[in-house]
Amino acid sequence: MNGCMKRTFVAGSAAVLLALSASSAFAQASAGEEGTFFIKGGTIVNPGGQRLANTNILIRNNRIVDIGPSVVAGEAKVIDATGKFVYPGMIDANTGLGLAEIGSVQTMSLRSELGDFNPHIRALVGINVESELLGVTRMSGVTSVVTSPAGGAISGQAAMINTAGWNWEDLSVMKDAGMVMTLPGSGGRGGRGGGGGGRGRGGATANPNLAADFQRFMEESKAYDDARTAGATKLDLIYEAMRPLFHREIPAIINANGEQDIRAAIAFGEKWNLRVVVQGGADSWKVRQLLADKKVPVILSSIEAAPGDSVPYDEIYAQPGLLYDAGVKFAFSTGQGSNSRHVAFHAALAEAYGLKAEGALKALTIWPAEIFGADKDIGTVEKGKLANLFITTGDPLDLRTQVSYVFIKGRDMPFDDRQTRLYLKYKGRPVTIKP
Amino acid sequence: MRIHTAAKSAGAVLLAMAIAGTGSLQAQDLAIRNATILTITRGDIQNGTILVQKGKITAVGANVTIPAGVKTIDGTGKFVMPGVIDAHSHAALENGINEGSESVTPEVQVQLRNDDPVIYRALAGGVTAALLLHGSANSIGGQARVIKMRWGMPADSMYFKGAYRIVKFALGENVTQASGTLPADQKRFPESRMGVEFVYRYWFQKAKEYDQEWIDYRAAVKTNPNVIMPRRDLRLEALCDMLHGDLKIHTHSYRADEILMLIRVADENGFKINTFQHVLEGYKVANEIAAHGAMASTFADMWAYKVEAYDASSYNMALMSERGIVVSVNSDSDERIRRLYQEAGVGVRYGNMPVNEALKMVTLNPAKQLGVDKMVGSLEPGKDGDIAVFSAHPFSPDAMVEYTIIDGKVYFDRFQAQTLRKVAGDSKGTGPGGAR
Amino acid sequence: MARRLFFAAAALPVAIAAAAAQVIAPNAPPSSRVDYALTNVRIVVSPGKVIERGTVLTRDGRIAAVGANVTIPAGAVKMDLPGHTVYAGMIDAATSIGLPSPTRALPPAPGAAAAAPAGGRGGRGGGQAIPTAGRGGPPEPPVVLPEVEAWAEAADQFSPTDAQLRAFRAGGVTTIGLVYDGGIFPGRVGVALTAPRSAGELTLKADAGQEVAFGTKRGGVYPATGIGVIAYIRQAYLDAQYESRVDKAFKAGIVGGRPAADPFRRALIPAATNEMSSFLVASTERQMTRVVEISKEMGIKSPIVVGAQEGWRVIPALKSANATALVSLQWPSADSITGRSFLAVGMGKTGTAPAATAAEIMEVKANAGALTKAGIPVALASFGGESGATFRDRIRATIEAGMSFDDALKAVTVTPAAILGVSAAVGSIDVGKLANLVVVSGNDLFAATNPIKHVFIEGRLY
Repeated sequence: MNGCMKRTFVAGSAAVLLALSASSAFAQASAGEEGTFFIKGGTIVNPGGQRLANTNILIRNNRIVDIGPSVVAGEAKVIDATGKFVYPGMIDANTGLGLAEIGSVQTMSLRSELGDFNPHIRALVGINVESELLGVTRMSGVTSVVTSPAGGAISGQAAMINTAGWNWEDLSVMKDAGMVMTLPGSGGRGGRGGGGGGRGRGGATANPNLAADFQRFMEESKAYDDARTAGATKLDLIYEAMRPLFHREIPAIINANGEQDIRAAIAFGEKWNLRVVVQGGADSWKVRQLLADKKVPVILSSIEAAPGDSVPYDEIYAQPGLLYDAGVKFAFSTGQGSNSRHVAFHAALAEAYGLKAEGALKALTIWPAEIFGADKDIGTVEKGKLANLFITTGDPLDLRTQVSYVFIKGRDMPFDDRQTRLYLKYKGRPVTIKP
Repeated sequence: MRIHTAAKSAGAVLLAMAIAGTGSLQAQDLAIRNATILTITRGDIQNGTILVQKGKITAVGANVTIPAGVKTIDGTGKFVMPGVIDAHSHAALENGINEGSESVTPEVQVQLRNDDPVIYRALAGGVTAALLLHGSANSIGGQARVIKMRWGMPADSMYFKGAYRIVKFALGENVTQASGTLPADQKRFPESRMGVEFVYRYWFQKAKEYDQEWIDYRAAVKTNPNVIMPRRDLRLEALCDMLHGDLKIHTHSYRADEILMLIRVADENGFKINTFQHVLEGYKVANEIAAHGAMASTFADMWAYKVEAYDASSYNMALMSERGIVVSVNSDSDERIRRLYQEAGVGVRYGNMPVNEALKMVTLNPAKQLGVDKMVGSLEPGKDGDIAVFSAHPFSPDAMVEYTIIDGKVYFDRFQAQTLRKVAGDSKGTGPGGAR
Repeated sequence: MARRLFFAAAALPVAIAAAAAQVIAPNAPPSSRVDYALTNVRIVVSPGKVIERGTVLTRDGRIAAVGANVTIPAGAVKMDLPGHTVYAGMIDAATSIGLPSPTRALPPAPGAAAAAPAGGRGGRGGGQAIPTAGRGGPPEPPVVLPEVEAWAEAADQFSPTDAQLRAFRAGGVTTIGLVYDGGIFPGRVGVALTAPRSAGELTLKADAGQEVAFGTKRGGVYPATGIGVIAYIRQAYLDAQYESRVDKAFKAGIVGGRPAADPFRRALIPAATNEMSSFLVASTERQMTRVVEISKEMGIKSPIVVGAQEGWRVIPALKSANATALVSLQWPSADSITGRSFLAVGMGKTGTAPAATAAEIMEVKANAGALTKAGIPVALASFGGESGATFRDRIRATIEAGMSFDDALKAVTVTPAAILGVSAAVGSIDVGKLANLVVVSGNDLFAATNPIKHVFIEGRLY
């Protein structure tokens, strides 16, 4: 039933769609149809270049349990992917999805907390799984995103989530993907695109003593961590939240755009022995060799941004190609929510301006997974990983390509997002006008 | 308008060499051969040649002889399409975009800033013409400018001759919230969609009275030369021009209710809406828009940034198009204007529009909305030589603009332009960032 | 405010050649008590008209005689000036020094909101006719904003400090055109001397023209933007023209209208009907293009462009409008000239912009010369900056950039005198005119090596 609807959806037959729009297919919750699925005969395209033509995939209990040309369906529901392509779900490495809904409505856009130092706040617990933005996002093949808090000097903990699930717990891939922060004095190239984060209440902070406060906060956090490691038992929830950083269990996601800010972020990581991820990275091409040498990855802010007057017109589009050639690991991000699905188009622009196709796919899938340490679960179509994948008629970066199926955590996702619902409703309106 | 003495902080290098845009307006000869030509109106031509002479297209086809001496671009592997047209931009304007002090200001006209770098960056995205609109702060805003992106030319040389005169209307949140931050006793009418409707009814009634005053005068003065010529009121004159169809209405609109409202006010008062801009819920009233004869210019997929944009949908383009509405996709942004071809492709991804129909949304259809479709918007003999040359099909992930041509003159040339790769050198090179 | 010394009987620029006797009021106050005879001096009577050795005689503040052989009356103070040259005092055609700013802070106007007439908002049927349903309507501006006080007179409001006047005189400037800095219709252009005959008496002319600047109204009222103000100015001219029609008809006893109680409209009638010059402030290429468009649309026959810093870029447009230019000698930075960003970002080049080339800097300074060569009447002005001693330096630089000496001299004497409507009184060393004189050592008025030795204003030595 579900698959039937999807095929007709792609074919665009109004009558059938209309009939289906009222059917039980739409009773299916946005969390998707559970079950055992057999994706038959598709070409699997994984980052790294290996294409597996005419290959079957068996999905059970959320995961890919087998892949191969000779894998059989058994009792699984068969999804015919013959002539189609199976891609790992795409990842948007910085969003406000689930936290922010309508930007202009304050109560629907709660992505930042009061105060400068909020390591203890967690994005995951504020995520609304019924956000209409999540539905629109996932049906374009973006199956996971990083949702980050913003504002302040230490904004809080980002979460890696799937774009469908029954609740935030079910949605979660990594509840603590990293600690989002903005170093004092940075922001020389802020305001570009939506990706910078750190834009909460009045930018990074209005605190004139921020640099000193930040230094003291780090020292106190470290002292606390040392004491705890030595056996102290008294808990402070704020300092406690900083401990995974010092133990390199999670990265410090540092908003930095200008060249000096990026260098400062790297130096900060070395000083405190942290894993650093640069977020924003507008000028990262200027320090690409350093980033490569230090193995510091970059979450690029939105490619959909206008360049400054004094830089090459194609700077933003061409930068990913330069980073790739230099060996820098990076991921794309939209920074916001409503058009998280555009992350594929970001990659397309980068590819047009010099990023190799394999790099574009890596930066949409396995690299963001690796950067946040989620690669054991997502990032490729591989046996044992979560079945986060989508089936298309072609290259997902090509605008002419149609998405036929989306699987998240092994669940077959229905095309019941807000935009599709409205599409079906109004496509069914009788035509009273002769064109 | 003060004397200027301070140097601008020009953060850019002056090139010793002359750039394409400086120099004469003179139309030129140019040919592109062996390319895939997306004509829009006459199908796609493989291994085709397009010839421009004295600024006009003189031949398009598989078998075209290029006269000796005509500058020729080898189009092998490239895709050639009409120059992209943006039906909604606020780039390259100065001295204000919104005269929002009053609800009705159609006597105002936007002012072109011909040396805005955005023009160059739009050219680099294949854009050859644009509608530069007044903002959306008031119910009836100001008049627009239609320009060709003749970078380097004086402002008045960039005006697109023969284009419609266009005025901006606006509905919904922007006009009702224009005075939102003012104290209650200083707010400006209207504050609701109900009030917006009354603004239109009120002012068109006034305009009709004004029109009659002049009709009466012209009749009376024939027999009595002493009759005093009435006061000319530029505001009411503009409204009369709208009633007479001489000033085309492009209206900012989001919700279905307000779109329908304006259609009915227009019907009742005897004027036409030329184009609904944004028209995010146009798909809900596509029948009514089509019946009115209005066109639609929308975002590819901007949505959820405010309440009235929550029902916006990327399927809007396809749905309106299917019901016979001439649909364009616009930028309304200095960023999106650089990749409008990509925005058009969103109509294929969502709604499965035929590729050529999607391409029309940034070529022929906006040309119709700007009143320039006899001159541009497709590649046909007799039309202007306004052309974008892509490295690949514009909807493919390898699509990059290599040349942008207006009247046969190359205004953007990727191979002459300063690019990031040229600045940075290769990855092993000595350019900035290549070394520690 | 009876500071006016002279009034033009009718301020027709075209009628400047009218007899001096008509222009100068018969009951002028007594002159300074000393008459001078400048002897053995080289006399540049007017550009191109030179007496190599002769005498200039002043009497009662006027030029009484000029020539190679002049009989010196008893009582005249003789100044023997071999090796020196006497020129007519220079005219700085436009300066805002000593004028109040049209955008000055306003005193609170208690009760203004309540007292404002229903149609008072902008005076032109704005949004006010729509019921505002008990919300109290829009914010009311003060009753009269100085930016639209069209009937104000710069000559009346001119209130310089002694130091400011001294600075003008030190630079050889004896007459100045008074042009407000900012506003929309800030008032009327005036002409003043840089020294008073007696306390407070500086004004030479109060109605030299109607100034049109392109500022906005404050407080968010219409016109609040530079785009709105263009429409506002056009409408203001149309309204004044309509008012003129009604006025004429009313006076002729024709039924159908009567003059409005609107000082703004009335004030603009002379300019809108070409009875008075319009001085339009515009400096950049696009500003001047707009001025030309407005002038043509509104039938302004000979617009006077004040500023004109990028004039060389719009010569055909200026000529097509029969425009005259008061060229500011405050040169803009060559890097900020319209069109330079075509070059700067045209290729998307990175880096730091180099300084403009010598040729480009010269082009900016050559503006006045280029306009003159193109046949556009040019007067030089310090408008937008300091005047005084630097005025001569800037003229010299203009000459170095290509303007001829005689053209430059015209542009600070006879041409501004004509444009400002004071040819009968100043601009040359002709008998009957005011004895406004500058004496330099050597021949060249503008040479740095030739210090200004003496300045006479209305026959008085400074």
